[in-house]
Amino acid sequence: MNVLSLIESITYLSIVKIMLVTLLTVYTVFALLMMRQVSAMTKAVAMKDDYIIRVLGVLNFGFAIFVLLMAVFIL
Amino acid sequence: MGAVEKVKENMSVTAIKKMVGKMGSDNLLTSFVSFPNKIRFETQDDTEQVILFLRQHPIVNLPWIFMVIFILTLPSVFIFFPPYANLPTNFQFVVTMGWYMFVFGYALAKFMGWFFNIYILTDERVVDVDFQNIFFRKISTAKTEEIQDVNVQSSGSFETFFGYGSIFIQTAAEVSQFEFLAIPNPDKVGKIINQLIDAEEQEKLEGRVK
Repeated sequence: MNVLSLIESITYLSIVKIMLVTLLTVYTVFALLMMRQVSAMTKAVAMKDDYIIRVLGVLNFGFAIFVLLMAVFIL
Repeated sequence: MGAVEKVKENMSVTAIKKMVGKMGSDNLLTSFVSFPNKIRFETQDDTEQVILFLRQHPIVNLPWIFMVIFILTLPSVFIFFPPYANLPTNFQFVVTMGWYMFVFGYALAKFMGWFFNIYILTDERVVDVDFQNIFFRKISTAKTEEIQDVNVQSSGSFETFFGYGSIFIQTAAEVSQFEFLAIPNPDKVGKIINQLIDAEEQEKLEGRVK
């Protein structure tokens, strides 16, 4: 009975929410990998002012976390 | 390395500096600079001097920049089409933010692909840093004395107009061919590589090879 009511409670919007959160979680992992790769590359070849590129990597990861949290709390 | 060898090494670097001279700009996004300031790579020796630092010509970034501009405008069209049009406002907001985030990530990945695809010539070797995507990077090196053949290629109206082309370096090293693709001033780079080979041979004759 409980399973049936659970299935009945699943709405179109809850499916969209699950899909969005899953997608954003995958993207956040991707952004984390990208940030680490940027860090590894700037160590492999050190350049003048290359901290700007590291900041871009961190911003991308921060943006991903922000959108993921927004999806979890707003939706 | 002893003091005498160090002095001899400095002499050969000075000679190369005289031959090549200072070219290009030292800024972060440069794609062609000789004797760059503050550029070092992980496996660089203490006495090793970077002669040339190269990237692909900035013009190769145009296709993805146009693509980014195009996909940035798409959310303004979403509103007219389902399922986006049927979603509540809070869902639309998150989807739009997610879209801009993906676009930023795509642009960053493409930019990194250009920024970290680096070709370095030192007084001792050729270094090719390949960064194809965020999961793949490769750093190949070959000593100057192992270079067997250098081919300069510039073909097509775009390459001729913007002054870029490719250089193919055949070596006796583990990596048999180095490809410097779409680099600015390929003729100058080819000439510098040949000068480095000559300088290396001269060092060999004088018994200054490390």
